[in-house]
Amino acid sequence: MVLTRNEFVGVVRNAVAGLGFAPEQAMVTFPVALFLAESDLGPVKRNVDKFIEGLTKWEPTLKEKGRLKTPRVRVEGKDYEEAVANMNTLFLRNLWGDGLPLLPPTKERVSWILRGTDISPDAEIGRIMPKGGIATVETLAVSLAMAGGRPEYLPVLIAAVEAILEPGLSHDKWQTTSSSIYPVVIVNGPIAKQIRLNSGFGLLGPDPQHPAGGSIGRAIRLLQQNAGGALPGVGTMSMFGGMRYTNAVFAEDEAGLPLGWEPLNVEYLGYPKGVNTVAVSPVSSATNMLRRGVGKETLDEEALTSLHIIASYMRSFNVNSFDGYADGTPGILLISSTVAGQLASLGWTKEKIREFLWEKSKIPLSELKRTGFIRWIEHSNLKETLQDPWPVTSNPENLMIVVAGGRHPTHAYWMQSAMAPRVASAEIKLPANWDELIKEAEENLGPLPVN
Amino acid sequence: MRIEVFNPSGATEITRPHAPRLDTLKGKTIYLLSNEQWQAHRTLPLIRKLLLERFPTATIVPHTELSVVRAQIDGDEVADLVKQKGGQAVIIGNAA
Repeated sequence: MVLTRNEFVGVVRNAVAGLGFAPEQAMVTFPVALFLAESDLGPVKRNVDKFIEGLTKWEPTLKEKGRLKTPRVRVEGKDYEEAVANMNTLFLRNLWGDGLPLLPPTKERVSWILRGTDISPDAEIGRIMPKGGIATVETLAVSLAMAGGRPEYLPVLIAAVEAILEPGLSHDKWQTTSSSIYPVVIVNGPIAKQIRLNSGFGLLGPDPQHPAGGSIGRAIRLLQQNAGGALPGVGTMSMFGGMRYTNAVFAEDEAGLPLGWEPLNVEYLGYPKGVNTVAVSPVSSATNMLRRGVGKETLDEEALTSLHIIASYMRSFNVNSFDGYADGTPGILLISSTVAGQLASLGWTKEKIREFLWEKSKIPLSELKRTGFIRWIEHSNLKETLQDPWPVTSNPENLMIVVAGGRHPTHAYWMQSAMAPRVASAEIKLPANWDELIKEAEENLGPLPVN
Repeated sequence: MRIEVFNPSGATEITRPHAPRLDTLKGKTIYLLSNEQWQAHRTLPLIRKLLLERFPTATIVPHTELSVVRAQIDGDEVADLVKQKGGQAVIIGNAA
């Protein structure tokens, strides 16, 4: 049985469902006040009978093993428009929406989306925690249909969900934590341009010229909530939320890579060049960093000061990075191809940049002591890593550097990673009718955007 | 006009039943499990004391005996370990 706070009943039910039990549990719950320092423990004394009852008398209402299927839903209206409006209202009442209008996941729309894969609709990709909802290819297509997606987005969504469900990403933890975390999906390979994923100006969206990232990311968010049970305040205790209805799905600006710089999926993940892949890392913050000087500096000076600026943003204590301290990433650094080109021209390789940032982002022990963060390290399995100054990750190679963003020199962007022991990735599998789908997309959406 | 749409929540599956309850706590071995968060160092010893007052013949194993980090507490390994050590039930806290 479980001792928890009143607001965590949904979290616990989701958690036991995710472990394969009926979605219910013997619980004794208390207000949050009990769980704070120097709290009054009187409520525990007064409720000891409930613990005894939970261990000796409690029984679940669902006792049989088996799959709990979800039948289709019928919605009526005087015409199609009203039926769709009623469906949106119903989906909100059933806690299946996100507050923005949804397209109806009818059999016809879902079948259209399913043209984007040769994998059977019944194929199981995995189970989305904490609730353990079964993510089949069809479940993914339903979410993508609701999110306004198109068939050619489905291969990326499938690969992204495969990566998210990799054990190394610990999605069950960041789906439920009180931290505010969302997955970032970075796409490499020719598919990015074909499906209009943004790698340039405004890549974190929204952008009508590059609608794919919004739909794919929103479909992932709907899956997190509907199949995974990450409903705010009920199934996820994320205090502030991810701040994004669409997560973050974008591409690396491969065409803008400086000479000698390999794409992320080659140099960081070890795929052959030209393969379509996704890389996924959950993050808990996103910060714009003004990096350039006032224009009076030499190029060398500006490059050096800009890297010091980036290191200063990285030099912040993040207990959520503990899980990935050894083999994960402390975060994702986005630099535009303009900045990457300038650095490369001055002899800065990715390796050199990583080494510099790792060294300069170390946190002095005095700072860890002053803030009390040192106790978090001492009480974790990272105790052995304590040194002065303390590096924010075990080695420079862990840092992800992605060349992306508008081709402009002024800013860089830092996304601090959270709770993932590793960066996950997956190859994107295209269906046999791929060229046909891309041609249809061009007929519908017009020519590919220039950038 | 009627439209039929998919339920987006996906299927779930019950693969194992909840453990049967104990008939009594008398003479039983109950493990306290914790990730050491949220005042567990105060609440769980108190629960142990209160249960032992009611059931002096029970063995209530302190949470410090099998202190686990948060990544492991819901794993089958922990459940297996408790069973190996003779545990017949567990109280997990403090998930706050």
